Parts: sequence; structure tokens; C-alpha cells
Amino acid sequence: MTLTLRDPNEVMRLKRLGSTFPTRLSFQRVLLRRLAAEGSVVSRPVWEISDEGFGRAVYSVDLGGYTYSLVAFSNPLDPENRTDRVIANAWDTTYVLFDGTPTTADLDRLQQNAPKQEAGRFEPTEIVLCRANKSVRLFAHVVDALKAGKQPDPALITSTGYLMRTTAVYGNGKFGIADRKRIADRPGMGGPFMAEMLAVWLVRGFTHDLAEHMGGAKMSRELKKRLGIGNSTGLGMAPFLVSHPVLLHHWFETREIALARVVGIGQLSNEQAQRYADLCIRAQKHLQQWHVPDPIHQTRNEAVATGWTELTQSWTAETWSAPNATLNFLEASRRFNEDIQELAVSLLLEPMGDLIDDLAANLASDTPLSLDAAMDVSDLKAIIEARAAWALDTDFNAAAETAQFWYVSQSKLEPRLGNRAEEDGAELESPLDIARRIKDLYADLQGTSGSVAGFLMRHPEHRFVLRRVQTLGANAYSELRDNLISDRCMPIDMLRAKLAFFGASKFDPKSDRWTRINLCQGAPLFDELENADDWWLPVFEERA
Amino acid sequence: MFSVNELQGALLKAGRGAGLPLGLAEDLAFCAPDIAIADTNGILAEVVACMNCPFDPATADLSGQGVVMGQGNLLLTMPSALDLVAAGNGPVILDGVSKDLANALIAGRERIDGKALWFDWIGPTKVILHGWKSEAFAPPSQPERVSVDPIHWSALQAFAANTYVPESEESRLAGAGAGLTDND
Repeated sequence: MTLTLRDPNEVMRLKRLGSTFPTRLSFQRVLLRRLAAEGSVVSRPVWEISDEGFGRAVYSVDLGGYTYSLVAFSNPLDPENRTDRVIANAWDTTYVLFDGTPTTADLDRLQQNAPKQEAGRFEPTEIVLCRANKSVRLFAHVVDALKAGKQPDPALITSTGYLMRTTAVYGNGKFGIADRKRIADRPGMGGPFMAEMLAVWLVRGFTHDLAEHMGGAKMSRELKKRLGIGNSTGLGMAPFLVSHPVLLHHWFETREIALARVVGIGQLSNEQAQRYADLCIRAQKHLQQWHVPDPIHQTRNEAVATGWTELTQSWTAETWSAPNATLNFLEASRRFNEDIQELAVSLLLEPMGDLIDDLAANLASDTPLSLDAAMDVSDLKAIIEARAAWALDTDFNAAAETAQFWYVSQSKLEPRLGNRAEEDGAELESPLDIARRIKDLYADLQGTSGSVAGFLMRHPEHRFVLRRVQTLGANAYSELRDNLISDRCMPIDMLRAKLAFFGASKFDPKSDRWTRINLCQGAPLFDELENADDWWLPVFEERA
Repeated sequence: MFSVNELQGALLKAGRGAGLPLGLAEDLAFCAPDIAIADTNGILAEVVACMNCPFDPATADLSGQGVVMGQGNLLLTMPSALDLVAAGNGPVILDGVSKDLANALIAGRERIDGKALWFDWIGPTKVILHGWKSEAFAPPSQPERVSVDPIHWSALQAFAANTYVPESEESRLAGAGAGLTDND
């Protein structure tokens, strides 16, 4: 059967990317299913934490025949130094995902380096480097409640959703840690960001243990499940989507193939129909529990909840039992905005693990960008005309279309976005102006003939974008099909897409280029992996 | 000691900062695993020397049998030569080139394209690129660590710094879109 995928011109627009929801193919879900399938067990061989909550700990888990250990360090931090920005140089907690079981000498070495993060140096035995800061109010509340012999306030736990926020999670050779090559071929580690997802899940467990240790009592299991691990993310994450076009294609194409499989089902079973009806209600409750401080985004969340109610109110188990229900639901969602449409996609995938979980194997790609120098320039022009109208249709002489520029700051090599008319540095802008480069390439291709090889010898300045255009010809979802330097570009849309693919929920934007999110909220605890896969858009009772 | 990814990133940024067209800086960065397993510091010395030379487009004489590349910056002439071979214009001759850097650039391209190049050195600085072989090619595995002379590393970082924008207090506050403290 031929699957018809959604058009990349529709899927890869920033506004739609900014409406992405996590799915069962999100990386955290994929990882936890794998751990569950292997019957993995988390142990805690080291716990050297003071009553005040400072010291070090180690958690170990086996995956795919290898042992991985999270090494955690907890240190005092003055409040004035607590920032989620990459400009920080001290954190409440710092971590390394270690390949194997660390010796005492390893721990001593890491204790000298992990708290320094970017200023430290690391060995190939270290796979991931990260840090997390306390959500001060909730952490203190939980510890104080436990010390008082009480359970923490469920409402406060649900509204905050985590005890700590990670502020950077580094992999792939950064600061001397292992190149991805070391683990890429290992069972369970081949998928995108698997090591990072493992580290984050283990960090979440550490935050629970730390609070309980300091409080001197256990939290209820139900309350702990509400506590995911936060993340605070800024512009640093956005360029990744541009600099990894083949990987981007794999992520989106995989999801779209999954969707096509699901909407191709003619008739659901009664059990499947009931499951869809139940999940519609769960999503509704989740939206009602998704509160953010920013009034604009809170209004948007409320609009999503309203729209979702309107879309799903007639979708009972009986409706889902009608022929072509999944296709009809997707079509029905098109009457609403991108938020509702993408939530509908996420819902449609959720109950269909047997049909789509195998696709997770397609999410990764380490394929580099090759160049077909033998291609005729006429074929290159044809690719641009067929797949890059979004670039050709842009008037880059209009100030609005070049209003912003991406750059890297000198001080801490932090990606930033500047206003071209008001700020210096545009001559050093980072190469995220893909649309403009494609249009420039297309202009210089006019009147030329022969091979790409000859063209590139005369125009080496186009080599970068030409390679991307050829990649786009073979990988339809490889480009964000918008102008990333226009005044309309909001990086938060890119952040949300990437984070949703990680499995994040409860997006809490702080600006158009900065967001907090929650990972692993509702996810299984260390000893719950046998029931690991039913936490899509989790909902919680008001009282635990 | 550095990871290969660190070397790759340093080569890419340094290339950009030196003024090498971005796509060619990518070609150079692709070679990082091959530079790491060869005479790393000898090659990096050549790379830095190339980065201090003009980046004029490569030239070629196609009037005879095969192609003779003009003298020029190897970071441009070798990728162009490899392109011409791929496009069926071989054999291609390069003369007056650094053997170790040329070999690394060839190896990087072989790694990316997944096929081997048929080529011969006919002197210490002259190489003939005959064509791409059709049989399967397995690139050598990359090491986990690469030792880089601090002099070369500093030179690469200095080039890379040409791409960084000095910050103002305004950009520090607004450019990343977040506040500076998070005690909540």
C-alpha cells in the first residue's frame, strides 16, 4: 500500500513546528520502552550525601549489554549565582553519564571537573555532561513537608512539576567527553539522544532521592511520579535543527509515516476505539492542568483546550468505531488551528504501538551531507523550483525579511539573535539564512549549464547551500521551510519542535526565544519499568 | 587531548573565521577523523598555513587530455579536483601540494562518499586523481582521542574567534531571551 504523507510545505513551517506535541515516538518514550523490554534495573552503588544534601552519588543501569552510570554531584550554590543561562558558572547539581562503573579514582577525578561543566575536561569514558538547578520554592517545600512528617502539597507539585531544571545536557565529544561514535552502534544507544535521555531520566530519580534524603522521609509514589525533570532552554538548541538536515528529515518523515499508517486503518477494534475515546478525555484534562505564568501563552493554552473540546466532544467510542475513523479525525482537526491539528496527530499515534513502534529505528541518521558533483545544474535548478518555493518567493530586499541575524557571542560562545538594524555584528552572522542562500544560488544558476563540479569551481561560495539543496532533493523534510532571519521568525517554534521530539510537555515559554519544559512527568520511577509506556500527556488528581 | 568532534568543530569554525567559503570549511571539517589518525600536527600546520593564504577560486586547464589544476590554496583546489573527477572529468593532476594534507582531504571525501578514489603520487608534491572506484569502501575507524599541539589549537581558535560577536550589555540581556537569575 502506498502511504501518502503530509506535504513538507505544510509540516515544516515554523508556526506548525511551534505546535508540536510529544508522541509515543518521542525519544524519552523510545528509551523507556527499551529499558522496560530489557528488564533493566537501576541500582545506587554510591550514596555519599550529607544531611544538608551535598556530596556525590552513583546510579547504574544495564542497557544493551553495557553498564551506564550516572555520577551526580550536589554542591552549595549562592542564590545570586543561580541562573539557567549558559553564562552561569556554578550549579546546584552537576552530572556525568559514565560508560561502565566508575572507580573511586574516576569519581575523584570527576568531582574536580563535573562541577566546572564547560570549564572542565573529560575522558572518553564520559558520555554525557549536564547540570541542574533547584526549583527553589518547590524543593524547599518538599523537604520541609517531609521533615514535618507530612506529604508535600499535591497541587504545588503538579503546578511546578519538577524539583530541578537541567540547563544544558551535552553529548558527542563536547569538552572532551566521548564522541557519539563510541556508542552509536550499541544496542539501545543508536537512536537520537538516547544517552542524553538516559541521563535525564536518572537525574530525575536523583532529585527524588535527594529531597527524600534531606527530608528524612519518603514521598508517596504517586507524588513522585508527578515530578519530572525540568529543562530550561534557550537559543542554543535552535541552530541544531538547521545544522543537522538529514537527521531532521528522519525525525519528521518517521512521524509522518507513522501517521500515514494510522490513518490508513479502515476499522478500529472496539478496544482501540475505546482507547481513543479515553485518550481524548485525558488530553482534555492535561490541557486543563497546563498552566503557565505568561498571559499570552496561558490564553493560547486555554484556546487549545476549548478547541480540543469542540473537536472531540462528539468522538465517543462509537464514533471511533465507524469506518475510517482515524482518517476522519485527522480531517476533522483541519477545521482548527495548528495547535489542535498537531495534538490530533499526537493522539492518533498514541494507541498504535503495535503498528508504529518499529519506526523508532528510523529516527537516527549519522549520514553526512554528501555532494553529487556530477549532477547537471538543470537538475539542481529543478530541485529548487520543486522544493524551495518558500525561499524563492521571499523578497530579501524587504527589510522585514532580513530583520534578524543569528550570531555567536564572544563571551561564552552563546548563540543569540540580533536585530540587524539596531545591533552590531551582522557581518559575522551564523549561517542560518538558508532561504536567502538558496535564492542567491538560484540566481547565480541562471544561464549556466554543465555539471555542478564546474559551477562550484567558479562559485565556491555556494558549496554549503548547494549541498543542502541536493540533500533536500532526497530528503523532503530536511529543511525548516521558512525564512529564519525575517522579523516573523520566533525561535521558540524551533525549540518546541525539538523538545517535543525529545518527549517534553508542559511548555512554559519565558520569551519568544526561551522556554521551560518538563520531561518525564508521569514517567515510570526506577522500579516501575515493567509498566513503562502509558504516560502520554499525563493527568493527575488534585489530591494524591 | 581532544575528542574528534572537538577537532571537527574547531576546523569548521576556524575555516569560517579565516574566510574559507562555508561549504569548503565543511569539507575540511569532514576530514577530522582522517587528520586524527594521520600525522595530526603536521597536517594542522599545513591547514593553518592554508588559512593564512588567499582563498581565490580554483582554476583548471581542461584543454589537454585530463585536467591540470592551477596552483592555488589546497583547501579549494583539492575539493574542486575531487568534484571534477566525480563529474567524469578525470584524470586530474595537482602539483605543488602538501602530500599529507592532500591525503587527508581525499580520505575525508572517501569517508563521506563511501567509496574509494583511485589516485597515484608521482612525486613528493604531485598527484594524479584517476577516478572513483565502484567497489564498497570501509573507511578506517576513528580514534577516541586526538593530540593537538597547543600552537595549532590556538591558531585554529584565533581564526574561529573571527566569527564571534563582541557582546554589549544590551545583547547580553536580550540576545538569549532569558533573565539572569532563576530563583523560583
